[in-house]
Order: sequence, then structure tokens, then C-alpha cells
Amino acid sequence: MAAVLLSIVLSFSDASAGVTISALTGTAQVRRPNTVSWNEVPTNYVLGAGDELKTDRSSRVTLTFDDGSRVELGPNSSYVLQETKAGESSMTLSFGRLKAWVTKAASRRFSVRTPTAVCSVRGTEFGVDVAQDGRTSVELFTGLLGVQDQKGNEVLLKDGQRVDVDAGGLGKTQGLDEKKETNKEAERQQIKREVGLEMNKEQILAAASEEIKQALYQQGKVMTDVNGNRVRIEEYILRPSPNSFKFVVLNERPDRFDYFFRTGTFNTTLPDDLSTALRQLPGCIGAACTYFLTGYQTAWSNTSDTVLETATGGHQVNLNANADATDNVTKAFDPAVNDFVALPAGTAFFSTLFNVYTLKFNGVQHTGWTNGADITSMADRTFTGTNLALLSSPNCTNLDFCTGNREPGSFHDIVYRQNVGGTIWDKFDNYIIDDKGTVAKHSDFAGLTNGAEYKKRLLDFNYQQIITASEFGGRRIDLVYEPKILMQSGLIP
Amino acid sequence: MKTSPLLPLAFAALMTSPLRAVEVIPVYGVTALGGQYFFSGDKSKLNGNLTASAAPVVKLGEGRLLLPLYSASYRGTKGVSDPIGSGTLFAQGMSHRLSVGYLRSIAGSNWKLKPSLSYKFDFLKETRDETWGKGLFDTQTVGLGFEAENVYKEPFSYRWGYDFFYTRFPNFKSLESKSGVDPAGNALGRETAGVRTLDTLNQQLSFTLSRPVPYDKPVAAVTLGYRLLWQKFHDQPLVNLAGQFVNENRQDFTNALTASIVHPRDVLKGKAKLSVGFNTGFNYTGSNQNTYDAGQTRFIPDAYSSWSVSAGPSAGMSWGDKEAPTTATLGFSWSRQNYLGRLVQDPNGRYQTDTQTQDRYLVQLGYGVPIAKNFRMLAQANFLWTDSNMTYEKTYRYTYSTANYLFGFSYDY
Repeated sequence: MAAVLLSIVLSFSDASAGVTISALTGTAQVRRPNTVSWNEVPTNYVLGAGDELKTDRSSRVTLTFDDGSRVELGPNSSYVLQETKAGESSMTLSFGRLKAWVTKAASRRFSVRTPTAVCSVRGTEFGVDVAQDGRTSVELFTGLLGVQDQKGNEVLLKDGQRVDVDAGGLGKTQGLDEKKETNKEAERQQIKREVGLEMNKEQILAAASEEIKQALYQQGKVMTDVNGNRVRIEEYILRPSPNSFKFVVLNERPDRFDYFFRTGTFNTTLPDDLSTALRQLPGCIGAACTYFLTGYQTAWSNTSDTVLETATGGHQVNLNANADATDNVTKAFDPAVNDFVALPAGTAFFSTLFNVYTLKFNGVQHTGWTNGADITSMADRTFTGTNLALLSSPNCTNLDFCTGNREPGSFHDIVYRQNVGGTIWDKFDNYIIDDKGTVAKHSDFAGLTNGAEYKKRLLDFNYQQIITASEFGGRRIDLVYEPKILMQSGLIP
Repeated sequence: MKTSPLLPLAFAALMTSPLRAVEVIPVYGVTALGGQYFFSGDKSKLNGNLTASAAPVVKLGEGRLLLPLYSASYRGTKGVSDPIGSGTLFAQGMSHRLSVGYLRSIAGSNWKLKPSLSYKFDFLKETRDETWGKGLFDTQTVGLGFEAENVYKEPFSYRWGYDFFYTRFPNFKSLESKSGVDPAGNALGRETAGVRTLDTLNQQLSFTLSRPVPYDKPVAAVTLGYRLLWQKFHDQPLVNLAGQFVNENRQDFTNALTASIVHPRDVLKGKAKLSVGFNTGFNYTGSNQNTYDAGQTRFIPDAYSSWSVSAGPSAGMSWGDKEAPTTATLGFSWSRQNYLGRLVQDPNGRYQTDTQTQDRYLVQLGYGVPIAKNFRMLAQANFLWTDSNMTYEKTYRYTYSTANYLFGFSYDY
């Protein structure tokens, strides 16, 4: 970097012929004129004319002249003693820092030369800093110091003053304290930059967490209800055995946890893609289903109360060819066309009927039938144990405990059942609600002419089911789930 | 949350420093803003945001700094870039972060070495029933970082960084892990279901270069950045074709490239400075995780992998007092995110064949006026429009517009 090499030439009149290294911290190396090797230099070493001296990053060297003047070299400095003879000494500082204490001798002249400045000294303690790009900073601690730039402009520094000189000329003369403030401000700006970098780094890390959260929102696993409260929903499928599946819906809301599950056991091993089998759950047109349920279990629970529905003995029955004409199917959902289709007379429609069924609330049966042989229609069921009966208008005294629509024009319907005497009862409050928790109006489904359109519209809403029973002690099961879950598990044909 | 054992070590290092050489340089700042958030025709109540930072930087000696930094923020109004979720206008956030960094300038070179330790707690109240410290998406992050910076031409530098950090969602456990058993005593959750499915172990490598252009007589500054982030979800098993978990956990890799150029110039006969710039970015995230939509018995492979591009100009103008100028800023950015496997759904939720894309258009305006030494009055406005081919918006909005405005002041020392 010859272009930026800066030389400071110091001239001493009455300089002595000897310049001694009087103090040394760390290590320094010297190179004799016309040699190439560097050698470590000891304390009390006497420098000769043309000797080069360099300090490392943690070294300091003090040079003492015979007249008592001193020059202290800072770390990472490169220095050459150009001449040392009676009346004059000159030296070069290629880069780094030096501080000089020049004794007051009447005949002494002291000058500092740089590519950008010339300093003339009379009895002075001063420091010179040379940056790699050539800028020179001169600080005067005591005495007088004349500083001249390359254009011949000159300024006389007094005690405690400083000036910067660059290729453009002399800078503004400042007090040392003023410069300290400037340095502090520069230092503060540097520190602010470091603080800013640290805080920016944090923003990048925070963005990664934000991305994780966003994915959960998009999957509908976290929602906010109409009251502004948190609702969490998880829905998944278990495969307990090769021929069974288990749909699970979990709800977590403030202070409560509810779940729903439906386990289905099929007649044969299920494929990896469950939808192939689930599509056949509502029944099959023309031929018996390849996949059908032989048993299922459905549960609703708030973790302390449970409604458990169990069915076994599932088998396929052609409802259009059995003895019961009342269960004939004339219109059915055909997954092939994703719509309800009319079934011409004589078309077979196979559905699954179960021989054994119980519906229990905290272990107490509310409905049940048991048949030893395959039933061929629902009329064949042999009811056993307790079986509640629907209570509906005009037999109700309280509309809140009465089967039927509870809010005219809205999808809030009640199914209420009880035994004779009303000691055992259960009640299902069924709502169709939107994402904000508002109950859907019948008018929301107006104009829909077929089941497929109805199913499609239903997907825009959620089911909320609140279950209470004589066994629950005033508690309730409160579940919100998406209709698609019910469609997939065969609860909605 | 146990306290990291590394933090006391850092303080011990501070205490063993030679006190005679210690000089403390305090740096602190406060910004207080108030405003409103708008979403789909609704507006939030007037609310405030506050950020504060304090760094009593300790000068241990020549080229050696200890940087303890405490920063805190409170956010009472939503930012336009926040996830919209179910569209609620309500969200409050608060964060506290403590870090200790050490800066060592290598004498005789341009290198600075910066190891650091940090701990951050983010509190988030997104719903009315959440309280401070009980937010579902509260996070705690412990970080350990190292950076080497070479300031080859002040203020231009290149920086290498490595960060290790652990992010924990202390209030988030999968519902499946909390589901217990069914009435028959069978587990309701899958056997290998994770518990803390969002917690991540992260490692990040980064490189940033700022450079004058041209080098000797610069008229512009260019900044290039590259970041490689590896996230290991150590308790989130992968989902297979049958919707079951396999004995392997999710891992994401993110590669991010950014580039920006700024051209400052004097205008109005030197009475003002105008700075115009352009920013671009490319981001690719690869994930081994899939999803399974139980409701539609649909397996969606590669559901988290995506790439995004962004670009946009920015401009800033400053005038008046050079030390404390009046400033005005204007920025626009467009970004597009493309998911590699996440499928588009129709308004009824039925899956289509295309993969999801979303475009975002963001306009940001800012104005700052000095009102006293170190004090500035600020005004900000942000507008965001998004557009997506995803039309199933039952649980999340993909196409919307939102805005906010904020007024307030800042104090920097």
C-alpha cells in the first residue's frame, strides 16, 4: 500500500547520537539497514541510523534520546530512525501511533512531516496518529505546535488542542475535550450499530416461530369463538387393527376438554387410503358393499361423563328386497356422481343392520336391542332393558325438555327422551353454527333442491352438540365438530 | 423454565474483568406509538405500542466491549403482517429479552469477534380468555451465537454468523397427548403422538456482505445476505399415507437470500438527502413433514415445503438539521409464496389439484420530526393486500386487505 504509506519525519536539533530502547512491553523487532531478517530487540538496545523498528499488536516501545526527549511507539507501529547525529535526528512513522515528549532546549527545533502536514514544535508533548488512508491526527498536550498542510495553510495549536489533516487540508481546530466528545459520539454510534444488529438477528429468529403458528391457524387447529375465546380442535384417525379405524375429535376450550370418537370394525382389511372404504358406509347401490361395518362404537365425553353407543353383528341387507316395505330406499347418495340419485324400482340397495345395540350414559342403558340372528329390517329388533321414549309436543310442559325445533327458523333442535316417570332422561341440543358461533337460519339452506346441495351447504357450518342426562349431575358434554367428520364416518349419509 | 447455566457464566466473566479499565457507555431508546388496526371493514380500539431497549455497554479495554442488552416491547395493536387467523382484531403482545454479548476487535486487523448469549420470553394474548403468561403461543427462546465481522471499509463489512437456539412453546401441548383413554381404557391418542410438537432446536448459519459501489468512489451501497436455518421439531413425528405417525421427526431447512441496493444523493441544492433503494429476496423451505386431513381422509405430502420471492423499491428523504433531520420514508414490496405440496381447496373444502400460492402487496409510509434533543415525533401507516388461489377460508383468511396507522414519539440516547 505504497500509495497510502505515510511518513512522519521528526527532526531534532541537538539530538544525540544515541537512541536507546528504554522500556519495552511485549515484543518488538528490528531490521538493520540493507538486511532482510528481523530480530527480536531487547531493552537497552541502541538504535542506529537506518534501523527499522516494528511493534506487534500488544507492544509498546519507549525510545529515549540523549537530551532526555522521548518517543513512545504504540502497538502495530512501523518506525525508521532515519538519522541520528549531533544537532539533528529524523525518523519515519509509516503507520501506527507515536507520542513525543520534547525537552525544552533553546537551540532545539522539532518538526513533524507527513504527506499532508508539517508540524513545528517548541517544547512540546504531543501525539500523532496516522491512519492507513493517510489521515493524520495531531494532538497537543502542552506547549506550542505549528501545523501546516500541503497548501501552506498553517494553524498554531495551543495547550489541549488538536487538528485533523488530510489531503484536503487542515481541519477545524478543536479542544481535546471536544474531540473526546466527538469520539464518544462515534463510539456510541458504533455501539448502537452493534445493538441494532443484535436486535435484527432476533427478528429473524422470531419469524421462524411465527411461521409455525400460522400453519396451525391455516389447518384450523386453533380458532377464536364468537366470544373471542380460544378453541382448539384436533381431528385424526387411528388404525387400531388392519380392519378397523377410529375417528377422534378433540375440543379444548377455556376450562373444558371434550372429545368424540367413532371406532368402526370392517368386514375385511382396510386399504391405506381409507376414503375408499368410507365412501361405502352410507350403503351401496346395485350390489353388496365391498367394505361394510360389522360393529362400531361411538362416544361423546367431557372426560368425566360419557355417552357410549355400541353396535355389533353388522351385516349387509338389501333393504329394497326385504319383507319391510317401509324401509325401501328410492333415493340414495351415489359417491360416483357425488349426488343423490333416484333408484328405479327393483334396484338393490344394501345397507348395514346391527343385531346388538346399546346406548349408555355413564354406564346406564337408555336404549338397547339384542337379536340372536341377523335381522333383515329395523322392525326385527328385539328391545331389551331400559328404553327411553321421545317426549315431544303436545306432551311437553317445558319446551327446553321437548323434542323438536327450539328456535323457530333456526337450526337449534332438541332430542329429549325419558322413561316412564322421568327418572331417567337424556337430551341432545343440536345446533348448526357458523364459525362465529351464530346459529344457522333455515333460510341459509333455502332453495336447495337436493341432498348433494344440502351436504355442500352444510360444509360451511359446524355442528355443536350439547348433551345432558339424568346421570351427569348437571354437567354437560359440549362438542363442536365439522360436518365433514360426520359424513366421513357415516353418521351423515 | 430453568435458567440457562450459561448466563451466570457470562456474568461471572463480566465480574472478573479488571474493573479499573471499565467504562460504561449507556445506550437506550424508547418508542411509544398509538393507533388502530383495520381488517375487512372492522377497526380495533385505539391502542398503543411501546418498545424500549437499554444497553449499559461496558468498555473493558481497547477493542473489548461487553454488551448487556435488555429490550422489551408491548404491542396493543396488530401489525399488518401478523397471521390473520380467524380475523380477530384483538391481539396483545409483550416480550422481554436479555442478552449478553462480547465484542473483541482484533488489533492490527479489521476483524471483530462477537459471541453472545440471549434469553427471550414472548407473551401473546390473542383471545379474550388468555392472560399474560398463559397464551397458547407464548414462546421462550434461549440462544447462543457467534459472529465474526470484518469491517474492511467503514461502515462496510462482511459478517459470518452461527446461532444455536432452542424455542419452546411452554403452554402448547398437543391435544392428542392430553386426551387420555377412552371408556374401554384404550388410548385416545396415537401411540407415538408428540407432546411438545411445536418446540424446535435450531441452528443457523448466516453471511452478510455490505459493499460500496463503485468501491473507491461509491454512489450506492449493496447488501447481500444468505441464511441457512435448520429446525428440528424433536417431538413432532412424521405423518404417513395412512394418517399415522412414523418413528422419525420433522425437520425443516430454510435457505434465504436477500439483496438490496441503496443510492443516496443530495437534492434541493444540498438542502436535503434523498435515498432510493431496491430490495429483493428469495426463500426456500424444505420440510420432510406431511399432513393428513382426517375430515376428508386426504394425505397431503410435502405440505410445509415452499418457496417465496419478494421485491420492492423504497425511498427515504431527510432534511433540516444534519444531526437530527426530519425524515420521510415510503416503501413498497411484493412477495409471492408457493407451497410445493399444500393443495388448494374450493370454498367447501374439497381438495383441488393446484398447489397454494399467495401474493402480498405491502405499502409502508413513515414520517419523523425532531421535537427536542434525542426526541422525535413519528407517524406510520401500513397497508397490506393479499391474494390467493386458496378459496377455502372457513378457518383462515387468505385473501384480504388490512391496514394500521400509528402516531407517537421516540427517544434515543
